[in-house]
Amino acid sequence: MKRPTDLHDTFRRGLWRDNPVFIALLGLCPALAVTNSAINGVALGAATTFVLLTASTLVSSFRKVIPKQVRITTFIIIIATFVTVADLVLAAMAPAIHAELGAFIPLIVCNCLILGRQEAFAFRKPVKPAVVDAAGMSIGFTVALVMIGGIREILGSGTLFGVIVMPAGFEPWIIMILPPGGFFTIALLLALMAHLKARREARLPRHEDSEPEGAV
Amino acid sequence: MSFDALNLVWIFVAASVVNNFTLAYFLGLCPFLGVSGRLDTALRLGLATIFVMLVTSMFASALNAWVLPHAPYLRIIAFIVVIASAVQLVETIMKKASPALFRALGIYLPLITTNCAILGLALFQTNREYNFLEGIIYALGAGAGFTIALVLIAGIREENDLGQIPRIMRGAAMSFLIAGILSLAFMGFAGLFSSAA
Amino acid sequence: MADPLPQTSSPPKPASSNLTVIDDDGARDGTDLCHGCDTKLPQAPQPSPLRLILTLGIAGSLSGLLLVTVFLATAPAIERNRIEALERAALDVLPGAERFEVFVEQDGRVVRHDPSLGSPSGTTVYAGFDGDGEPIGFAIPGSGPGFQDTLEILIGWDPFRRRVIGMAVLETRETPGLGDKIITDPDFTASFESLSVEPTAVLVGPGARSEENEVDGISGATISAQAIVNIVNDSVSAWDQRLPDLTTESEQSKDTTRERPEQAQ
Repeated sequence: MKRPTDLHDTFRRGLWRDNPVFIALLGLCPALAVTNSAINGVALGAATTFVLLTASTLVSSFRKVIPKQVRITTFIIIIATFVTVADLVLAAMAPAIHAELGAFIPLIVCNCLILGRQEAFAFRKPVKPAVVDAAGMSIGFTVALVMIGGIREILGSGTLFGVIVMPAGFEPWIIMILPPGGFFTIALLLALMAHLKARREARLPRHEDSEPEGAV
Repeated sequence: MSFDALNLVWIFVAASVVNNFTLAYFLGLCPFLGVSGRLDTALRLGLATIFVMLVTSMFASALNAWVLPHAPYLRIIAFIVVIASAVQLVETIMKKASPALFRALGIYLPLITTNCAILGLALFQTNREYNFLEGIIYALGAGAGFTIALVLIAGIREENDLGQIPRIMRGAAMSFLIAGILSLAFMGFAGLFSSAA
Repeated sequence: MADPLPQTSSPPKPASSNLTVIDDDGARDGTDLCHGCDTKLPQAPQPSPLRLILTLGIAGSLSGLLLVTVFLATAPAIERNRIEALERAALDVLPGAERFEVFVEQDGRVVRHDPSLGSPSGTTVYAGFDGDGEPIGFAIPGSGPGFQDTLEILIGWDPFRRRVIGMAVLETRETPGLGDKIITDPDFTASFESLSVEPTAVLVGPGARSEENEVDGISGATISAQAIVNIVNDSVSAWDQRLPDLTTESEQSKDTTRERPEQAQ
């Protein structure tokens, strides 16, 4: 009952309760910049997942060897290396997606989420929880990206993953796939999160851990 | 010659207002949310960012000219190292040359290292194959654009503190809403240049 | 002083973990990204400088090794993708072309690229030939300021009939639904299938094209459409005199032209 629950909790925390985008406000630049369609959200989410998983695994494995004075530099070297790997592999295997995401693959380096998880979790914990944490956080990040991208794509293009979902007479709100639409979408989603949180806290004033949250 | 000058003006205008780094490319949102609550801090962070962008742009031009053609796979690592060093360099120089300025801007410098607008600048400058001079103008434009956006939002948010905002919209949600409206306004700058040309 | 992250963003923090790591504290203590995390790190004795350097050195070398391996493994595919994409675009603007030859600009002249020199550096121009080896024309690049950002296009130029025979937009950030009609508007794009640039190509009203040098306008995308016409005019006049004569297959280009800076690069 002890360890699996712990791991389970670690995983779920990243997925929803401490969702990197909606709650911790980390990694917002890519979350908004490429999410004018749901598929872009999936692609960038997958690249970020790859980098976060590999970085967390490595940092956690070598956490006893890396002196803490140079840890940040080492994290950055590791992260930048795997971002470059992701960039090259995508360019070779999926040039269309690579062209679509453009400079935002290299910009994964600057995603505070990744560096933050190394510093706060992977450097302090054994490999297993570190990997679980990385998986939870990156899936949470990807879910957030796909949510933002999905909303913007449905309203802005009338499609979801390229499939027409809106009725024939629907005139797309072009503004949603333009930059302002990104800001409006995240603003409303954050307000929604704040509302949900306030409601939850009103119902359970003390216990923050016991409530089963709705999966995404 | 006049074409060159025109080109530089276009680069500056495009980077600062038409394609504002923050409002059109969503770059530099983290510091944006963190410090955009106060006008004077926003202005200082903006100035510090312009400094670092200038230095980064020069280093990036040098790297693009001499190092990266031989080792393209080092691009991301090299840029990150350059940015971290540029921040250090600016910090050291500022500490020596102007302690007053350092006291005002110093605390923001580490924050800038993780500002994706800086890496974005280096990458976009590379993608667009800008030369040294164009890179500097681009950095100035991008930095100015970042500062303008930061200062505008900070100003509006200061006013907002006194307003009656629904509870769930307070904080980040409100900042994003303001940013969205500003982004909408900045779209009005599009076409500024081509209609004149 | 920086104010803390907005209220909505700070979750109730369980005591056992630091979840909101990068907030403004990073700025306040002025040293690292995770203020407050340090307290939890085991207090190890100060390691020797040698150990620090060694750690970074090893991390750096391993990283370099991995990168070189991945780079070498992916380089052929990336290069192939790049060439395929360019040739697809070149095929778009040179209908009927089956074979392409690369020409590069060297010291103000346009010469056939020697493949043994590796990837061409500088601006490249593609010459397209049909199945019988007959030359069709050149795919020449052009760029200039559009409505939103720099537009990059490829122009199919038939030097024999002196006509533009195709135009493809390579890079655009024009407003979706409005400015991007420069790609989707059928009348506009059809104007480039046979367009004279003498004296210059001009943009006319939508559907008003009657002369060889007129381009059908697009309602709602006048500025983007005008930008494309400008780029076509500028690029063709910049390149035309320098392009080599394809019929003689001679590499001697008519290079007596003035040194004209290439548009917007």
